[in-house]
Amino acid sequence: MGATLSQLTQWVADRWRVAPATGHAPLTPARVLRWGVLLLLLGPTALGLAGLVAPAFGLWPTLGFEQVSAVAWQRWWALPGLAEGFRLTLVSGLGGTLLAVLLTMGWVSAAAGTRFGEHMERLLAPILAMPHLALALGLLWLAAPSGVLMRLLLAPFEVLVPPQYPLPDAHGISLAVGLALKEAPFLMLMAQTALSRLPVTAQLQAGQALGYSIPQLRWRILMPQVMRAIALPIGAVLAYSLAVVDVAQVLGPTRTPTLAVRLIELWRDSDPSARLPASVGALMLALLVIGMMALGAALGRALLTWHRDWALSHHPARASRLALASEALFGRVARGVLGVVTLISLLAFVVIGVKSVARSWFFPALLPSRWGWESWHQALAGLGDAFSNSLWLALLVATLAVILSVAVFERERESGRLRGFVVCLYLPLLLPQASFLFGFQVGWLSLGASPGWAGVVIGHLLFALPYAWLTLAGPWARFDTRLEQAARLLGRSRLEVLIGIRLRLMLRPLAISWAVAFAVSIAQYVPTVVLGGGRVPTLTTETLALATGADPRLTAVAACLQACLPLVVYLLARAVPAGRSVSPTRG
Amino acid sequence: MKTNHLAGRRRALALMGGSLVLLAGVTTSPWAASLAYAADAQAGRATPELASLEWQVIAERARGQRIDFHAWGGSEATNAYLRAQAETAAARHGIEVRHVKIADTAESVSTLLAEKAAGRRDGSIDVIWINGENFRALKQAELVWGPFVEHLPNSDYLLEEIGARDFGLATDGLEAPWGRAQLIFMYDTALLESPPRSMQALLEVAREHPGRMTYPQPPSFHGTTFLKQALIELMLVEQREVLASPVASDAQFAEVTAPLWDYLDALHPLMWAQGERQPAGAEEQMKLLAQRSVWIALTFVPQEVANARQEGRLPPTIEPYIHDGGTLGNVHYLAIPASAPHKAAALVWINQLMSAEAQAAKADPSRWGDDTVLDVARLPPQERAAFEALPQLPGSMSPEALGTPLSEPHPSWTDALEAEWARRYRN
Repeated sequence: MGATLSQLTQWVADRWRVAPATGHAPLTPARVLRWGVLLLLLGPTALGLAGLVAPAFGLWPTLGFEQVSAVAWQRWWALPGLAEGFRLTLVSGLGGTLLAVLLTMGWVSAAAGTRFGEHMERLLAPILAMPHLALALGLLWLAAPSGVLMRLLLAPFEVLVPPQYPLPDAHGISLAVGLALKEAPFLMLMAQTALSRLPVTAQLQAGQALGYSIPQLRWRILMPQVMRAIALPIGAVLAYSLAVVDVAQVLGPTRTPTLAVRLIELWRDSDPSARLPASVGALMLALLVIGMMALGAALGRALLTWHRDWALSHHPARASRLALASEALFGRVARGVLGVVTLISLLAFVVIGVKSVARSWFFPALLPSRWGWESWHQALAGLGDAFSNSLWLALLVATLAVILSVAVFERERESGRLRGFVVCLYLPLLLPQASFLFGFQVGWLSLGASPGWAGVVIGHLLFALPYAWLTLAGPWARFDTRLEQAARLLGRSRLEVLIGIRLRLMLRPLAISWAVAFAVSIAQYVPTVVLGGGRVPTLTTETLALATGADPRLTAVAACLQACLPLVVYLLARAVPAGRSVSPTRG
Repeated sequence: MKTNHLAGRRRALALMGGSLVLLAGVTTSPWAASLAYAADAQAGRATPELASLEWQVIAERARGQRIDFHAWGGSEATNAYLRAQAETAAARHGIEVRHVKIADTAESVSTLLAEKAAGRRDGSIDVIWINGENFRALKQAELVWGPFVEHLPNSDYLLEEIGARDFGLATDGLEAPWGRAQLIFMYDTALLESPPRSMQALLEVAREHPGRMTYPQPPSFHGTTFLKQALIELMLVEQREVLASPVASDAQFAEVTAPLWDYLDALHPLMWAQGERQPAGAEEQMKLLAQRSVWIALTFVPQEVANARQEGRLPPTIEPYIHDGGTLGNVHYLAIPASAPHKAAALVWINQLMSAEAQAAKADPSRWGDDTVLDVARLPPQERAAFEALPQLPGSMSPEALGTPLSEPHPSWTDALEAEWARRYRN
């Protein structure tokens, strides 16, 4: 078998080198930028795919596997507990996504645009910035049998030992709930962006004039539009939930882990040839995600069609008293659920804070029996490296992500077509992290590079860029282009207009998008571990390492730092003065 | 593997013979240990050039080097100790030590094997904290550098019987003893009147209090240790010697381990979370014990309970205990990978960690609480004083209470036990 990995990557590299030169157009800066961004996105993706597929078929020259064989597949299928792993992955991944989507639908139907919704948005901002791992730990300390909620419940009774109930459970339900609580605010933000691009007021007014109530209109008119607009983010949430590792290690089952956790276990096996079945597993996970995504897309389309038919056939708006009452009830229930979700998330945040300054806090004490800052002192000594690594990585990655996003948008305006580009941009988000990154690492190593900073920066960027782009898309589209046209007419160059008018007026959305990319970079676990080879410790990797250790107080400090860094950046970004960026003609 | 072991046995016989002759004459001589190492080394490989240089030359070469030290990073006591030692190394020897905190030593072994397969000369690991099956994996792949132990100045005071065999495998001076560990159990005196001092007693307590016993999930280090401890306890004393040699056949393994699986089949339904979930490691189980969700826990650090009680990680009602028939004990080591780019600094670092000062700090229950590998009685008086000044904290385990540790089975039993456990219980 001649086609080795390096030849494959060489072929890809050749193609990329040749491609720009064959074009007859001159090499304009925009063109260079475009190819640069494409290469940055597609290079690792192609490398990741090649590095994923080759070992799965027994090819890994650097480990001495030079023949195509079925050995990797045999070893993979021989693993004990595989069927259970599949089941758990589906329960936690699909369940988590479904719950998050339901919460978002509840938000769109009962909260968006109301004062309640605004309060909620403000309260959920910290959760949006909070890394998955920190939230998972907070939830665990809140809801476990010996957790704060149980202590509150049992406070009136003299109870010596905590009750027995399985949390985290063995069926992936607590993992699904944890994922949903973290992903729902993200989907709500995306829904908010989608809503802000719709002529909501005009649609509602028109509907009301026709005799529909506001809740009816939300269900009939706004919901399908929003859902269609956030289809891609939902896909990203699905892929993330099916392939999550760090949260699964905290809230997931241990006896038989999810597929993604199993992959990490195989990757860490003392026998490096265990990475062959790991590649098969990564491939299976990728296929699973793609399959589920296709299923989800088909289901979504069917639901939208059904919804349209239902809305058309049930048009009479002369709402009966019963219908009105049930609408009101639904609104109240939805708001209640959303309120509880917000409260739980905030409590998780508080528990982490309290735990970090508690020296001794044993069941059934409601409050710590000894307080102290010792853990923070220890953390200052021990986590200094991780803190500065996290900070510098996030600063660099967020800045690059925003610059590249702006480049992508400029490119969009120039050419008007962007489809292929967007798909490339989303590819890393849609492929399961574990699968994709293992492939990337194999490819990266076989190119002769060593694990370390360069790989980690690229890895983080792949995941931060789509998020930066997503958060910037709404404000960018809403920008009043007449200002720019005026400036161009006054003889300013395109670059001058971009920097002097658009970027200056869009400072706040840019800052928010930067902050989101920053938060995404801080939260990355798998890319840091796999591509950094353990040499780039960050707050997230240290938090997980400490979470498996014996000192929960220090874990709390690490989680606190991990959560506060993005939060501070996010609050700073929100404090950036808003320019006059919104078009006055918006409906 | 088989030939390897035979060679090992022959080496061991030679070593024992040599040691006996030596012991007859120089039992109290401080050289006994290092001479034993010399015999070992002659049976193995030639000493590398660097290790045989004058110590001053090595120390001079080490100055300015930066080393990557791969060591488990899940305990803050350990991490803080290593931070302090790294500061000392920087101040006294001019070397920079970076503690790469790993979750499981197997990860580092895998990295080394992958680097070797990729043909890389300059590896990413300079020193590794290791023992048992991980050392065996590296030694088999010829990935450990040395022998070097006898050339370290601080190896002079090593305990005589220590460090020749690691889980039954000859170390050949390729790894330096760093600490002694023994399996310790702990229980909550507020919940149990007396602790279960045997595996059978543990099953009884589990029947009495369903849902309150558990053990860490294999193949985590402590989970596998629990399996080995149970296996030994459930065997007749006179049968135990089969564990010292490699697993002979599947039939032998099935026969020897049958009582263990019967025991676990009975225990699992009575365990915490109905046995559907087990703590990921001994650390998680200690956290569950602190919150009284489970009522016993285990550790490999003899003074862990004293340390944790003082630090406020465990409530003051927790006390340590061991099983009546004794518990497993082993030595943990420091090794230098063959691909380590900074071997001189690695030697200096290991020598520092074996010094009386560093070992006394390590044995301090308020800092780490790990037993020393040095023969304290042979130390010069001023160095011995550091050990004598160690504080006695509540919850510490005296050497008398620890007794003689049981010896670890051959590493092949570890692998087989882990595989069979996964086959039976991971579905």
